[in-house]
Amino acid sequence: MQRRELLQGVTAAGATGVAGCLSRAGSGQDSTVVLDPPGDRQFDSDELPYPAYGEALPDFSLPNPLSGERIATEDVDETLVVTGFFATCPAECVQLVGQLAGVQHGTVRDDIADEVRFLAITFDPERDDAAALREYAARMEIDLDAGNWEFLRPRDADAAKRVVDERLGITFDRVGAGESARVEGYDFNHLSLTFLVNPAGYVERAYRTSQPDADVVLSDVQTVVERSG
Amino acid sequence: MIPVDRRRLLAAVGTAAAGAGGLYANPWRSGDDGVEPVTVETLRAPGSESGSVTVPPADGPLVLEFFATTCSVCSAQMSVLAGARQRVDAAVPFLSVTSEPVGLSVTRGDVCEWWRTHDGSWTVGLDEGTTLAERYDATRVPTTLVLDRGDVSWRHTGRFDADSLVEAVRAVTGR
Repeated sequence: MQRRELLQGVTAAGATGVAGCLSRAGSGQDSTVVLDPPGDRQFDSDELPYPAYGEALPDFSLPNPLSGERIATEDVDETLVVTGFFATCPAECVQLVGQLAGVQHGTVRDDIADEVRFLAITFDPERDDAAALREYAARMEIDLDAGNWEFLRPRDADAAKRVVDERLGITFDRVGAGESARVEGYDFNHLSLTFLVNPAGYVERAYRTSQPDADVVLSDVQTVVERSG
Repeated sequence: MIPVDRRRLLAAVGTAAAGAGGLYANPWRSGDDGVEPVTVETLRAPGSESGSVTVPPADGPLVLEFFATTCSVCSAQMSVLAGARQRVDAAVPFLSVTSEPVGLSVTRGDVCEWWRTHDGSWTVGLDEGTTLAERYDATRVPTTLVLDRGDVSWRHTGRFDADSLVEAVRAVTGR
């Protein structure tokens, strides 16, 4: 298994400093992560309703409507940045995806674009088709030519619920058209959550904010790439 | 919207900062609630000079808007802000800031260009490291606040009409 090999590499490289800090990572002996625990950590990972520091990101497989390919996380060897969003979101996703676009540009600038893959999963597959996502990328300054940003689109609303909400813990609820104070069509109440996942598939950071600081995330990404190399 | 006692929240922020050693060390400490001002880089653009300002200002009100160049509602609100600004006391400063990752996906030039295109005519600045957005819990754009020194006397996220902002500013200035 690729994952096992990678995991051993990670353990060897990153065993200092974190062993014993985790309540639930791996078997409790080996370190599965390369970053130190988050400085502002308030809860043990197993107390959180989503995969967090030291826990495995649940595998999923979703189509990228722009490339026509299907991405399965277990086949991805790069460091991952994973988030959920919807393109007609008027406010909070603008901040979130805007910051992540900054991180993406940073990976290009720092020549680590090939070692990092961004997976932005829409939980609004009805409206977010290929054309809408392409337009969104242009508006949000996402560099599609860099080749490391993937928009993923579950095939329907039920699939979105299963993967994004239930599997990844990026919870969302649809707000019916006419019930939202901020948009005309239907809207979503949702958690803003972004995962930084190492090549072995373990969560290094779960940024639970609609405004992660791009420089902080980029620095974390660089560290994971360096230590996982 | 969740009703939040902004005054108490800000006081808590101030207490935390003071607890970290800022109480005596910081000459910029203003007002009674101990909120440490944040320095914001301002850009050379229409109505705006290159330099820096502190938020909140030492005294008097400030209209503070968080925007993003990628946000369509922010574009639409520019004329509303401009309209409201014409109607309130000319001494009340307006400041629009973006928390976007300037230097990565967005350049200072992009921000100035956006400002010009949307007829901005007041101070525009950069919220580096999203410090100000965190301070004022502006996780969504546009979010507009009326500050009365350290206190947030009004805030709104999303669209609003000029009347509500004018009224909020006049509630602070008294005219």
